[in-house]
Amino acid sequence: MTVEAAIYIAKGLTILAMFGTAIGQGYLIGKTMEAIGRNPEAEGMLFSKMIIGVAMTETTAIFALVAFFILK
Amino acid sequence: MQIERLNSFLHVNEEIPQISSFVFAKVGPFSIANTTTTIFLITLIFIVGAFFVHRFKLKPSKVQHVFEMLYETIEGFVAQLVGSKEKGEAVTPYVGAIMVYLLIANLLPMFPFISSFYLHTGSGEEFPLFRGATTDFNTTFGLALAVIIFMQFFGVKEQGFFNYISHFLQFKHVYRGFKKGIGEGFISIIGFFVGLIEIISELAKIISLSLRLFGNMFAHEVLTIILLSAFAYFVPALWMGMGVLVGVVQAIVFASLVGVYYSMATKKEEH
Repeated sequence: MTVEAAIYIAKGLTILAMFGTAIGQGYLIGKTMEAIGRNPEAEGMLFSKMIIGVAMTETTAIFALVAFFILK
Repeated sequence: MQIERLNSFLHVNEEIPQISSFVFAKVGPFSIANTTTTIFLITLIFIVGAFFVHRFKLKPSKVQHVFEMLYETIEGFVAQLVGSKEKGEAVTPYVGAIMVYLLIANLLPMFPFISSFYLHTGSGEEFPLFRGATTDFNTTFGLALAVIIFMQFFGVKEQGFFNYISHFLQFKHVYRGFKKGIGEGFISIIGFFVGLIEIISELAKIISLSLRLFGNMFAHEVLTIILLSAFAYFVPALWMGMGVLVGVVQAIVFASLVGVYYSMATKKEEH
């Protein structure tokens, strides 16, 4: 196996981080939906907090993406 | 294997940008890159804004209304974030400045004509003169570093030097624990190591804060170019519209994290 092939395999493996991110985002949005269903008046506050939470969860995938670009 | 790409009506091939920005000049020890020129442009926008703010009167004009609305929105947001109105008023100038700066920095590349300026080097290479400021890791890392250093300063100012340092080096807790008994003492030693980990978490904040912003903006730019080389007309337009949302959300996330770090640094410990 050449070094180049190993780099491509590593690049593929970094994408695995998106598994966890997808699960986290789904859980977060689902829970927010539940909360809005229970208390529809709090929708505005919950929605903005959810957006911030989603962006924070996304960070893990973004770290993987940065690693993806750094691998060369 | 190299995939052959065709340049045609439906495919616009551009080179995927490098992680590092292009340095085209050096002034003393400072290098001027194509992201630096964007930062100068943002500074110019801020100076023009300051010129408007200086001419504000008690009876507001239309421009003044817009500025005041923006300020009040940010102030309400920060007050909600930090928890109390007094704390919010104290920290709004910092958090608000960071938020407005990042909003302009993230959205400036979307303006028409900004990305049309190109720079020709002697060796026949072409580089865009204005590259998005936050697509360079140096910009975001500098911002995050400044923010975290500032938070240490705020923590010392609010809690006193020794009180603030005792969060990280908990000698006092160990002393108190051993005074109570051997069992309590060993538990306090665990607390001492947790305090040391706090120092590392403070450093990790810098990395996560800067990488989040950089990664989002850079990945968006790269994906735009990949989409342009696949279908040049309809899909990239949607994705660029998404870019406005990403830029605004990332600016708000960065600023709100600064607010959260502020409220963490100035939190009075209850005994």
